[in-house]
Amino acid sequence: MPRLKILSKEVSLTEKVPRGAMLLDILRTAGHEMYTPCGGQGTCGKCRVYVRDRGYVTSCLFPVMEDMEIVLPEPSEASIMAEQYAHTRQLPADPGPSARLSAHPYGVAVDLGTTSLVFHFVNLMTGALVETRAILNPQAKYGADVISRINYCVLNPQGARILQQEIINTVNAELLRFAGNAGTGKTDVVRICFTGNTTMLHILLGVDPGPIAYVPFTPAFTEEKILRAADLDLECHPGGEVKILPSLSAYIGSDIVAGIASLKPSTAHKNYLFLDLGTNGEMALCTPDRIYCCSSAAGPAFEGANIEHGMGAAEGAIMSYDGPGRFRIIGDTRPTGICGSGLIDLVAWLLAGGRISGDGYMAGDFIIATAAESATGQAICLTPKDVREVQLAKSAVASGINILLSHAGLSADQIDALYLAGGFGNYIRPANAASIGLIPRELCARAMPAGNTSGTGALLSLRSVSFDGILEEILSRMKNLELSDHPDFVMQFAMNMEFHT
Amino acid sequence: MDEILKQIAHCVEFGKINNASPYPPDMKGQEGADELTRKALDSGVPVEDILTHALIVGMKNVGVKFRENKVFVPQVLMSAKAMGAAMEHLKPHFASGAAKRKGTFIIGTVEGDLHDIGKNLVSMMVEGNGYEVIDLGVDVSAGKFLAEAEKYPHGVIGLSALLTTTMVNMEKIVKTIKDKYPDRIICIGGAPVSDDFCKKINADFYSPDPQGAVEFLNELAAG
Repeated sequence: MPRLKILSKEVSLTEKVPRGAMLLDILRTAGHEMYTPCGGQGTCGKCRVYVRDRGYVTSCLFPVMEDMEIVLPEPSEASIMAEQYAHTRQLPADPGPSARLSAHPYGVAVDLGTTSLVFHFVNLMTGALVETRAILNPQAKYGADVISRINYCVLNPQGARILQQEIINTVNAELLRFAGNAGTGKTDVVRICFTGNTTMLHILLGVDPGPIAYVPFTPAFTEEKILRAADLDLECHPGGEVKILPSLSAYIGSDIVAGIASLKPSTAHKNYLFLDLGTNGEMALCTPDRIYCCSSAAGPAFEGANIEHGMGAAEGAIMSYDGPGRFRIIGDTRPTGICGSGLIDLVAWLLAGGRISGDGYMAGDFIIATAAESATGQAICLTPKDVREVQLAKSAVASGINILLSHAGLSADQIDALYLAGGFGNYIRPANAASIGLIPRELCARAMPAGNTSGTGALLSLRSVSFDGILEEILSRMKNLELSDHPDFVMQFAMNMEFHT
Repeated sequence: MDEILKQIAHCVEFGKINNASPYPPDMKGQEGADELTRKALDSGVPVEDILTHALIVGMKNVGVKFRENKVFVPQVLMSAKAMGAAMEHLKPHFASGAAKRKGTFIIGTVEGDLHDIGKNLVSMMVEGNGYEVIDLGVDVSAGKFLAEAEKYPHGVIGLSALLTTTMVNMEKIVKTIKDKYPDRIICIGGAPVSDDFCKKINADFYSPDPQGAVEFLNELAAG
């Protein structure tokens, strides 16, 4: 009978087990709680455990034939894993030579978003995700979108340096906080992988992002960069490897490249669409040979900007709407405003009831919550101008999708899946998104949230050097379409502003 | 004669380009600005009357509705297209000198910026209101504006920008033109632009909507 050694945070035990028994059953018998949403059918991948010298295995499919050591996920990881998505790519843990810089090596994957920064702290011995943190980007005070950040860098002689310092200071504060909490030395962090949009990556390295904003949109670099931690004065092992994942173009950053690479769609999905809706809407149509992608200034309407009572998806935001008095609020407090998903629901409801006409005309303000109901003491309403902002934003996305489809020579019903990246994708109701014309009607039933794919891409890169090959393969298939000089875009953009009721 | 001018004005206001156009749905199968203008000219209606009592009236109505948020970009664009179809029939008469326009307007989106929807709307509204429009397109340098200013000594200049990063180029272009032609009138527009910015960079006029630009030009033309 093989001997199995089980290592977890609290205990370490060795026991003899029947040869050929499924690992999941052995772990359950030994009293370990295992999360298996698919019921042990081998389809969800959530019961993964780490087998020393073999990497991750799906325990419900893994018969134990010989002696081995199992490392169980740490409790914090278990809850995060439970939220992971079925179509996320899985790779064997292999962080590369920098892991040898410490006896207890850790690494950090950082997703540099324009609005928020996400940190994944990983134990590089086991590949275990130790902690995930999301904090606001400290550069937000210099402007909400990339264009205003670039503007700051262009107008101020030391602009790029100042913004770079903001990011470095914040990353350093996180590194020191982690070292303090984990009880490790700061030099135990030996590897850091960054993803982000092209502008954020320029700023991270203190490189002038100016050219990104001007025709012909040529960034100073798009390729992968590898530095030593000391080069950026990061509070970790000075010889640690810092990796900046590769981008495609000025507006398709490594957040999108790594995001696409982080997905492993079912083999039944031949053509699929990847949509990341933020201030800039980035989209990619993945086909077996080419990946067509573009970025379209969706405008920050779905993040609350330019909308009279708009707000981000924070506490107090109306996040869904089904009619007067029938709305849900994040945090179940009184409402303070409406966020993107609620806005889509509301406009879809008003269109269905004829209060907004097909050309986007609404006679006057529509009261969502009265002054007495709201947290602000002020009525929360949708104004006719807000509807116009929604028309602009939804048309930018819809027109981008149409142009990708026409380049690929595909129609919407030939798309097998639609992956919605980012937090917005978790809340959005595809049927209402189709009602307002944001996504093609055919894709409603094929839409699924993909989570923070940029952060997952950074995490995969941190854990496994084999992710490089996947990134390279994805990049070689990507073709950037510049919408602003696309002959069909202007007419498409104008006419897609109409609602088709 | 009044009847056909009213019909053309209606086509322009509601974006009915020609018989074949399916837009707007409630005018399907009817004659559009294209056919009606041809008909009016063939029956001897003077070019100035078509311009003044049909095109300008239609464009003004849609411009005011746009300002009041009653219509949006697609309707204005279709109106502009209907106006353009009518204008094709009038152009030979302007070119031959048989009919006169109210003035010349030189417009372009500034250097570094490729956005042209807003610029096109202004360009078409101004043209539909009886002006000759020299549309320089997008990503237009200060040198190019200066060269056109030289070519059209009485042309009013319009600058458009959609990005906060490119609006700074407006300042450069205004300075280049005003250094050489201090009296040249320059108006500016675009999403990030404001009246304060207009004053700051020494431009002459800012309007948040295309109709404002038309009214400004009309005031200048009236002296």
